[in-house]
Amino acid sequence: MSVEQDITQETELSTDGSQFLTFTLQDEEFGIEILRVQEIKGLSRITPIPNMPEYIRGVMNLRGTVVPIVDLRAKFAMPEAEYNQFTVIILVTIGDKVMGLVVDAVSDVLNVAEDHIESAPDLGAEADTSFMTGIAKSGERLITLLNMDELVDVDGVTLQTGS
Amino acid sequence: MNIDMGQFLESFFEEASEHIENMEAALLQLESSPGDGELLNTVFRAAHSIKGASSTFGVKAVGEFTHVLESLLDRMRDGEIQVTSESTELLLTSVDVLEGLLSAARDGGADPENVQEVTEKLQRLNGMEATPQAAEAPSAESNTPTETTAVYDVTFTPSPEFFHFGLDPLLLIRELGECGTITDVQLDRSKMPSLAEMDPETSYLSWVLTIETERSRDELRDVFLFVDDNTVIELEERIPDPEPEVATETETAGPSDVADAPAAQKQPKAATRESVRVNGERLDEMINQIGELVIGISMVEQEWSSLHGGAESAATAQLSKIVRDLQEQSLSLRMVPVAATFQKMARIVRDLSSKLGKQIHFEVSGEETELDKTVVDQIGDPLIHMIRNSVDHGVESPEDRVAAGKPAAGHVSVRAFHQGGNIYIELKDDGKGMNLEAIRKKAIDRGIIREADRLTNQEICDLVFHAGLSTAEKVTDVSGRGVGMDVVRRNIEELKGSVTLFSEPGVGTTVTVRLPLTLAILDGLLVCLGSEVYVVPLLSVVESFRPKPGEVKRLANNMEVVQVRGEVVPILRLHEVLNTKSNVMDPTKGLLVIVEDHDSKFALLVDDLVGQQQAVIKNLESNFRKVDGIAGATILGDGRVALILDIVGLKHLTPKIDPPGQLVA
Repeated sequence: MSVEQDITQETELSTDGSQFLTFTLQDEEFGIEILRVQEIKGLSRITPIPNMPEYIRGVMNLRGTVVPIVDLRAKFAMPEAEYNQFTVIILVTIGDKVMGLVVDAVSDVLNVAEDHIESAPDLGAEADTSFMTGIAKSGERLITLLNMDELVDVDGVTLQTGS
Repeated sequence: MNIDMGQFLESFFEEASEHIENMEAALLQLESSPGDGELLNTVFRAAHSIKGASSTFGVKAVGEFTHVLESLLDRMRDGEIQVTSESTELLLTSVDVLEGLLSAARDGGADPENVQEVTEKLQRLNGMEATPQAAEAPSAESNTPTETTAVYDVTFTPSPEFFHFGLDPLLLIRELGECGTITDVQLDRSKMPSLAEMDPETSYLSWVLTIETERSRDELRDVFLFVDDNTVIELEERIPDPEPEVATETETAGPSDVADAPAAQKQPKAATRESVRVNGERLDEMINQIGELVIGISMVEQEWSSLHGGAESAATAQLSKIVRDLQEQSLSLRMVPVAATFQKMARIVRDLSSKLGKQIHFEVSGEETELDKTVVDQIGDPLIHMIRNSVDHGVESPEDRVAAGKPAAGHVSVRAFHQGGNIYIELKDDGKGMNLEAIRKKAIDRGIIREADRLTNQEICDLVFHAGLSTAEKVTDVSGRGVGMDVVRRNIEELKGSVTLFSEPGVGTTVTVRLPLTLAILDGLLVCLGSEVYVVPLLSVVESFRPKPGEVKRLANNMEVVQVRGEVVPILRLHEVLNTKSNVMDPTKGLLVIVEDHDSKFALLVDDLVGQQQAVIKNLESNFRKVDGIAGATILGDGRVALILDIVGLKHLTPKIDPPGQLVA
């Protein structure tokens, strides 16, 4: 309820910003463009795919279509967490494909004005930040905004059929 | 009013091509039974429908050409022009021209070159036994006894729903006008309500049209061939003018002809098949959803039985049966008969044999056999290639045949039939067969086999599917243009089918194509490995068994093999290839599934057999990408995804994972 109020209030305030769905991984907050989100689902049975990097957990049945599942903790080399009843899968669209992201929990929908987004920090050659579009500030919170296209395209094992 | 004509046009073209198919089929039959009036009627009706629709849609070239064709057909139907092999030939050419015109109109290309030539030929044939244009405009004094001018009163009362059928009374009246001269038109608008009550989509009017024509009563009736059943058409002939009393009587429409009217209209109805056009994508979506329903039901069943201590519910059992029937029916929606493809083949046999001066009796059976639409669409080219081979290289010239003691006319047949969940299409000719020795020699030349290899006749026959082995001694216009049987085999294998050929010198050649009923479903063997279930396509499975301790051996290169009835088959541990966990390490405690693709056999080691099931195939590429060794996925009864193994792909995966030390792990 309060989330909804927040949204309406903030929509009135900012006209040029965009909306993000935020979620947590290991106490860190991340955001993805709301228009990319198809739906949010509880965890269901995942069938592993052979010879895939660890973060590609497998495929699941989404009402008759077979959808690949990426574990974002594994993707970001965070310590593995036990899947539990709060673990959710965010289904996002990338081009005409659908993919599921396993995250710890979904927080809320956030409106961020253009000028509240800072570009991704340059951390030198050590850290690859190409999967980030920037960092959003909302009050005290710092939210890493993810670039969906880069996120799944980092090392060639992606949704693209090439390579 | 702004109506998008595009979609109407599209359905016009679709329908027109269906009509063309019908015309072609009827004409081909007409060749063998020239006396059959019903066949001519079919051709006429098809031409008539194309003509009518093309003028509605403003496809002028098509309309004009069909008009010429139609008037000739009309006279043939009346027996004024004899059906001969030449006229049938001309009609078949006209059908090609018509097809060309239609595709030119659809794709904006150029009209076929021979339009003018064929039009003239048609007109010449039409004019041969009648004064030119006689059928078109009745001149005042054209008075041969059979063609006297008669005057008819045509009462035309469209049904209230007339417009709902997409019909236009004006078009029909105009067409009637083309049959002669309309001398009087009376409009009856007594049924027309006041403006406030009027429904613009309902037809309230009726007409009495007086027409002077040389045409027969039946021909006039044909104008109204396609109106709906509730529209009333009455035709009354006026007794020639000297009788004035009759003329006054025409003020009221005579009911004398009513009984005759419905009977005449029922006739064409019987010939049409009821069909509805549906977008293929929507159909697939529905089939998908029904597949989901099946899974949903089995989940309900499982939950029920776990809640009630294993008891079954009669209600869910019944529901599950209904849903399964529904799924079966939904899959049958994609099935279409192979008849259209066979008909194309008939046409090719006919054209080719006359071109090559061969006499061929072509026989078709089982054309009503149904296959998945995708399969039917893709099987056409390979079949046509093979039938060309049969006619060109198989069947000999009449002289050669007689010299060989065979009847002068060759016999080529194509037959489709069901057998054990598959469709078979068999192409058979009684020609000279293949020169097996020549094939063997060529294969040796090309290094495909060795001189010392002793092959059975069947094995030599199989060689023709090998890439780069074409046996045509000379390259003709007809076949042998480099596209060989290897392409045929590849095309058929893409459809998950197989092809075999057997040829006996001097006796003939038989090619048998085996195709799955549908591409959407695969018969699979369910096996388990670790905690997962995999599907092995049943097509590739030879057998499965648990080996006895002595049967599994390790060769010097660390390759594991199993002996099956004297044959040594290499073992592939599935969990190693797929890099997953397995519960069984000792082959004698697990299960070996012997699989083969066309040149090799190997044994897959899995934990156990789960069962056999028809799997609805989902591809991984639609949301992911191609995965080596995996052909696709399917959804099991409990809702989870199981991967379908790609046998050929698995074999290629092996070299990557073959370090000797890994077996210990």
